[in-house]
Amino acid sequence: MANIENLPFLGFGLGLRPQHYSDILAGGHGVDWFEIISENYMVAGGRALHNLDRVRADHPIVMHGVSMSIASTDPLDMDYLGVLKALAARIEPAWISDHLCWTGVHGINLHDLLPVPFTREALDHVVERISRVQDFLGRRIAIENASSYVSFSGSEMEEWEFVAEMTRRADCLLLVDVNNVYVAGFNHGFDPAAYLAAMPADRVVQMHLAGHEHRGTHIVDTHDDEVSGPVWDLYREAVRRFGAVSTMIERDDRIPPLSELIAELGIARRIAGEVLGTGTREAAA
Amino acid sequence: MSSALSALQARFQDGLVAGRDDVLADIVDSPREGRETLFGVYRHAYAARLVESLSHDYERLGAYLGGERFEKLGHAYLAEHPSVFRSIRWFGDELPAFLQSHAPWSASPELFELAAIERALNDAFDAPDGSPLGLATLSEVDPADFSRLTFTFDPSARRLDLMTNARLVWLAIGEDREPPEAAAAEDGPERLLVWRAGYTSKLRAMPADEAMLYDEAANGLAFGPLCEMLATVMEPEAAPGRAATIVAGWLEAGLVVAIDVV
Ligand SMILES: [Fe+2]
Repeated sequence: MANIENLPFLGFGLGLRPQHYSDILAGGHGVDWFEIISENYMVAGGRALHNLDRVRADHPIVMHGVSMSIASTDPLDMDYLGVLKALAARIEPAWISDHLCWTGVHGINLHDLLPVPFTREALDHVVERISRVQDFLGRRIAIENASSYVSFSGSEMEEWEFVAEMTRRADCLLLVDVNNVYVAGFNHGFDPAAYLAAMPADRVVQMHLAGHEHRGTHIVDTHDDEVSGPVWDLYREAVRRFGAVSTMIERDDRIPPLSELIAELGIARRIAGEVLGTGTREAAA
Repeated sequence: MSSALSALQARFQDGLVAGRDDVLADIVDSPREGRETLFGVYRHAYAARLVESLSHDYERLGAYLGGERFEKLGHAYLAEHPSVFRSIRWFGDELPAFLQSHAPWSASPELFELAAIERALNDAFDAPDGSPLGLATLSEVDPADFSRLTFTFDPSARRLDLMTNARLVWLAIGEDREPPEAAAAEDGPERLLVWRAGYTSKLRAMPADEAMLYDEAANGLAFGPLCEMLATVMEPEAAPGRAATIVAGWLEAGLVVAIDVV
């Protein structure tokens, strides 16, 4: 299924992590593309930027941020956006994404993806800010659904209603984190498949897969383990809904050798291949 | 912005940074778990993530202090210095100053000096890229201009003066050896230079005369006055030769990015 921006299907990717630079630069790994944490490369110079330029020479890159704080009631950080735009000019990413969350107020960055109350006020606020960011960057951005552990008594709609409406009104793209849908569904007691069904499929440009930690009464989004069975099942459902969408595994802690992540990425390839028919790339063309 | 949303975010943030519970009134219990436990996930993650990032940036300080004492330091620092940075990489920038000015750590000056070494190396790591000149550059200079030459150092380069043996502690931990007992630096302050050569951060101790020249050259003093300054602390006839050796060493180490005639 094509997305409205005609962004390409990049295939199957991984987060670019410093532990893997040398294996990646050696080539022959078969990973189709890489995602960077934008903030890690918003530096003046040095090895990280140098390695990024080298990886970029041979692979598509997408930029994924954690500090845009799109739902914060602090003013938009124009310095941040300026540096983000400059990095994008250097890297020419396939697209830029960040999360539906806030990271702090009163000038503080809590360095966490904090939950949004699903109110009409928050919706208006987020829509207006996404629009301004897109105007500033001169391109649509993709917004990712975050994992969350609490719900607010003041919420006036369901998360999927909020996300769908936000996407339509802000005219933005979506990064669907399948694990986050599963985690939020378990934590808040909703059906994750119904969540996926509510997403506007033509806005979905990327999917995340990741591992989590099950604590019995709730699940924490840890990115430190393999993708779980139920999340693979949900991924199958997502591929049915969204078609050939660039998919990657996020691993941020207890990072294994590159070969292990490549093997795990093979599961995503296989599932997508089974749903879409042989040759996922051909199916997308 | 004054609104229900901004008030909620302020209460939520206070719940994380100040340990207040007001925000619990905004949160509902989930089908399986109470709101205090659920909000506790954020509380725990906030402190854990920031203290962990300190332990990456100050790895050898962490090894020197040991896990429990480092953890305590991290929480004390976080309480006073919530991050104001887009990248968590800079969150720990004030840790050396914090160690220097807060008991009980201030009583052990090797702690803040060890932290200062690690911070300087981290800063050098992602400093702007310079284009160092080679030694051959000097041969292109008209000897008549020598005394009027000034030197611009690589943007990654920074100097530290240490009053303790923190460099030896740093070295021992890096080599997995038992660190020496903390002590005052032998023969007065130890002059350190930290810089990045290519993509590798480096550190070396400088002789006192070289450090003096380096600091003055970094301030823009030209080669002639540098020689005169050196002549006040050594055999005057030998000073120009010693100064030339020092400058050649800087060029060989890739420390000089510009030579100008003033
Ligand atoms: Fe994600």
